[in-house]
Amino acid sequence: MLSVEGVRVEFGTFTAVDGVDLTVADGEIICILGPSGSGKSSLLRAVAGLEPLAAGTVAWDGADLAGVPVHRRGFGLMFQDHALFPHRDVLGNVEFGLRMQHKPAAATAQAARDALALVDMAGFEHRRIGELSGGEQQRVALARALAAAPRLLMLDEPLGALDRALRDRLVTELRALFVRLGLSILFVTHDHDEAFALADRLVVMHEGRIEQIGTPAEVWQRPVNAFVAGFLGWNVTDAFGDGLIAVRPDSVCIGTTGIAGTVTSRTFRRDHFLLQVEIEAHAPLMAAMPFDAASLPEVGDVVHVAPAPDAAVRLDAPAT
Amino acid sequence: MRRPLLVIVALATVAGALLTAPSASAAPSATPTTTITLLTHDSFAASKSVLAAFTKQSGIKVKIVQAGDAGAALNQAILTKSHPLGDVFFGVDNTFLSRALDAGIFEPYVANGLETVPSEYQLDASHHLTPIDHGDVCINDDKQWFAQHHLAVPTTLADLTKPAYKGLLVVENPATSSPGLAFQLATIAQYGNDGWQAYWTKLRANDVKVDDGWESAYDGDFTQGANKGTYPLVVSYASSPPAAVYYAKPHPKTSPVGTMLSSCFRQVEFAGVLQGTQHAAAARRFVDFMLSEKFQADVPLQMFVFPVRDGTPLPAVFTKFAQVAPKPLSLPASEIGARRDEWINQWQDTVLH
Amino acid sequence: MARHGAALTASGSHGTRRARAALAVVPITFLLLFFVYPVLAIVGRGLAPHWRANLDPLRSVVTDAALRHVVWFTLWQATLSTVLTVVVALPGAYVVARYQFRGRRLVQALVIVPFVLPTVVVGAAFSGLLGPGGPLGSLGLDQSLTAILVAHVFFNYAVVVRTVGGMWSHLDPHQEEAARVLGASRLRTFREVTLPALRPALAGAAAIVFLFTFTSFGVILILGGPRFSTLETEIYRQTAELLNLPLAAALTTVQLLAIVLLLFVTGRLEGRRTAALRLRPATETAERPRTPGAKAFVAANLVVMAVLLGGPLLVLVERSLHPPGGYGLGFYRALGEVHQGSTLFVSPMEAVGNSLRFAAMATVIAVLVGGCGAFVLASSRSRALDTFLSLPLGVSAVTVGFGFLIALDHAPFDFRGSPYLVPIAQALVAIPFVVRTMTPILRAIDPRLREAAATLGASPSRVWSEIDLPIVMRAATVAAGFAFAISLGEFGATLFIVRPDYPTLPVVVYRLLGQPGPLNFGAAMAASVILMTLTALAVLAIDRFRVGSLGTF
Repeated sequence: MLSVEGVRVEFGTFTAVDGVDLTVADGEIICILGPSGSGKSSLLRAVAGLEPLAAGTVAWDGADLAGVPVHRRGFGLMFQDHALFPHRDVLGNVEFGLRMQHKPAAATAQAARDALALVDMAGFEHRRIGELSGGEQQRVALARALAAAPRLLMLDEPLGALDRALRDRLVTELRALFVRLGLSILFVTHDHDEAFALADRLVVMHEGRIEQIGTPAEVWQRPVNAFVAGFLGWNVTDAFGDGLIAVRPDSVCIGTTGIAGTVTSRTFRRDHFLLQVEIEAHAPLMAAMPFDAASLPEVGDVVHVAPAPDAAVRLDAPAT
Repeated sequence: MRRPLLVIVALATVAGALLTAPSASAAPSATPTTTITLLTHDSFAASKSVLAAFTKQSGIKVKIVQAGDAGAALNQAILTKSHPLGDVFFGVDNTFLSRALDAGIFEPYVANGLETVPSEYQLDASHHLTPIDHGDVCINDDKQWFAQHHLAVPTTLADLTKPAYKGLLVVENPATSSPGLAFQLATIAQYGNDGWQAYWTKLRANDVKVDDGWESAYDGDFTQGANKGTYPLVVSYASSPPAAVYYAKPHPKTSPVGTMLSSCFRQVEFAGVLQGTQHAAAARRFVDFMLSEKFQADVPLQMFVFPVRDGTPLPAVFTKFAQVAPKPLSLPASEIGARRDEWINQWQDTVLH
Repeated sequence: MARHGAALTASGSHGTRRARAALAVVPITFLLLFFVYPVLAIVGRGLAPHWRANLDPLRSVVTDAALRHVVWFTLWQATLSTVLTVVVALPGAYVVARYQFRGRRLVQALVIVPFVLPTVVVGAAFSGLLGPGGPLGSLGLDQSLTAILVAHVFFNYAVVVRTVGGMWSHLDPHQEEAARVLGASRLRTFREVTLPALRPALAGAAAIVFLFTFTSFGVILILGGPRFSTLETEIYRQTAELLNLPLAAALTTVQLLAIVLLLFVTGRLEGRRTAALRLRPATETAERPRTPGAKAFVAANLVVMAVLLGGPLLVLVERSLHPPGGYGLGFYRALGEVHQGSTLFVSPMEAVGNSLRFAAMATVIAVLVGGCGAFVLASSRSRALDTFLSLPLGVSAVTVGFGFLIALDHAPFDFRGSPYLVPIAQALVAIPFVVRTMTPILRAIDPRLREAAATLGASPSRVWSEIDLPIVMRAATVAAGFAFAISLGEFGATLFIVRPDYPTLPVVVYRLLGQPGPLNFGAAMAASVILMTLTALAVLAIDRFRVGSLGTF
């Protein structure tokens, strides 16, 4: 089990990670979700030992890892840009970690092949890195990290470099793989679809601090403050006169009751339309309507909007 | 992105403007001027006023081309025999005399003023080369150092092998240094062809240090040199004592550097008209000029050697501080020419290997 | 994907191939006329006097024990020097490449100053330090192999720092981090991941260091003394002092063969796979040292640089400011006064002026000729041309100088004694550096930029002037700066050319050192400091234009 307590990472005068507490239980898949610059990659690197801690501790099974160098922590790290070694072929890359463990050559090669099979890349052993496509490189990078049998696997934006269709497919494959292997996983992303699909628990980070921790369902149903709500795509508004509330676009009813507003844009989003409604003296609201709705407002129409009953979440923290 | 372009343009214009190099200042002369080229070694120097006087009186401009040390310069003259690099060559010394004569690169000419030169300097009977100056290569000693260490200054070559003077002498490699060669020849002159190697063996046993050139020996290792070395005995010139005074600021009352007169080897320097010159008459006039009173009087403070012309007044710093050996060691030029390479190789085997 | 910059011109099209050939003519002709012809003339005179080949001297190089020893010692000291330099300078290269600290740009620029100083000056500085009267005299390093090696490291430190450091600052640090996370210790990571990526740059740096130490002359003579003899010093002796042209020619041939072999081997190591690396902009990879270990590492290397590189230079400065009677500018004044009225005299202003003039001329020649070569090499990657253009670095200056004497002796080509020979000789030495600086930059021009410009409506000539020309100008500026600094301090080549009466600063130093008396020596030190300052200023000015640090220097 990984426990991170009060970790702070600084770059000169800039604090990238500001007092973070986190645990990853054995076999748990934790996702750190947040916008760029929120400190999530720095946190990952700090756990790996690649960044020095300005404060706090990183411990595994109770043993403090301060002073343990990077190559002895037994954690796997998959980089966003894969960082495959160009001067070695696929097999040479994948067996690298095993070679460092001084296993006999035959066992090493076999374990590497097994890892490649795990990611569906059997047969690619002797291909050169430069010849692989983005998706293939990503799988090889994953195989390389897995082959070394780490006790904790960390991934930095694992699907970031892939196109949407590939991403969607891999998300399901990866979760199945991780669950099957029973590894502790800590991964980082800015894409909430990815986070919700892969994680057992979500950690939302913003400007170096944790805003909310919970299961994807918990976070999705009850964002705890304006930042998390806004980040997840909820409307954060006080236009309805009830204090600051958050309401999902698909819970904004367009009809005859509520506040008046003008439709300023209408975007087609595969299974729904997303409408932007300008409200006087307030930030615009996003409302979602099913694509086959009976009457779809046009751009320029004046409509009335109101939150669906029990769909609004009251926010305590002020919007940042 | 425009800045690099501007810089390049600036550099180019500057280079172009500077390409019109400044001409050497020469007094304009009424008569049409010939220009002769004096090919010489790196140690040549003369007063600009003296050369200007020559140009004024003769209408001949002198361009000086310096081409390395004495040996290198002569070799370059020999190499370019068919297309000579200049009209007059200055800087053949008696150790190279026979090589120069054998190469046949000079035209015979009996200079005006030769009669004022004592016969001991007239080493070329065929008059292809004219003597211009002489200087002795001698052991210099640091008088202060010996006084401080309560040691008598050595006075003979034999003294240098005594244990009292162990590790105090630095010499130059005859293969690469002209004074080094001269000192080796001095020992050959002193001990004869059969005895000089034994002498050097004793010197080697006495921890003699060998440097490649005069600069390393004098400035690097000599106790009175610029680096304040640890060797109080060095092979240098009889003119080093006055130079040590002249080039010190302020001028000391006595020269800290002395000369071991019994070790001195006579060097005479010659000049000659190069074969194939297009300006033979002008070249000859310049050789005459080098023997004239004006030039000869200029020689001591410019090149730190002695004039050959009898009766030339010497500057005060020379008369006060320079000691001239009454009977310097010497060897016949032809013998030097014939055996020099062999002697150098033997020296290296005895001393270095 | 890894499609990293391609040809300067689209390969294959007939017009560009003709253009390339035309460009290649310029450097080839220049070298043929001013290098190959003189060298062949003098070597031919030695090995085939009177038009009859006589290869006995060549045989004697193999049979004569003393000569064999000379060849062996030359190889041995060059190898030792190269290994030592790489080992000492590699950590320094890492510090300058990967760590951000105050004064980093200054260090990067100043590190070059020793490289461009003439050996005459460096010899004086080191013998001041290591000689029997010097502060380190008790180490007994006078006239030792150690002194030679230390001086070689001093000279060539910058080669490794700037070449390898340049490449290192572009390497993706994620590769090293990935290896470490996979369980490789720092040392293992260096061996398995970093070294393979650095190999081209390392090979290039090692080649240059080996070239320079192989043909080292002044250092061997001044610091080694008479017991050490290399091919270069032997060639000098045989050519200039003994006029033994056959033996000199044989030795020159051996030297040439060794150099060509070296250039060929390193060319192979250099050329491999720079395209396959993923390179990052240098600004992204440098960071401030944050752990105490990193800070100590940076500090230690800065100390090494200060002591090794700054020490001897400080000795020079100190000597120049220390006339008898306390510190002051006495020697600088003397520089303007001693020998006044003599033909020996050249006012420091005139010497500086001559130095700057010749350096400027040499720079123009080197950039024009070398630039053409760089253009050709950027697209054709011809190793033969690359080796050919680097040859002047490997041939003894005395050979070239004496070759001039017999090759260029017929009008209208009789340049001997002409002042124009000096910048030509300096350019010969600078051209390899111009080529090595400009070629990688030219090679890296992304063809997609040209395509983008074309789609935005730029005609081919407009594409050239908007996309290529700014980059070419930048490369030329960097190369020019470097050529200028080299020419300022160039001494070996001009020493052996019959020098007309336009002495440069190194010549002034050389002259003053040859005269007795403390005033002359002090004035020589003053002139050396002036020369040092000029070169430092030139390098600092130029470094402002350096973009990234891809490729050699």
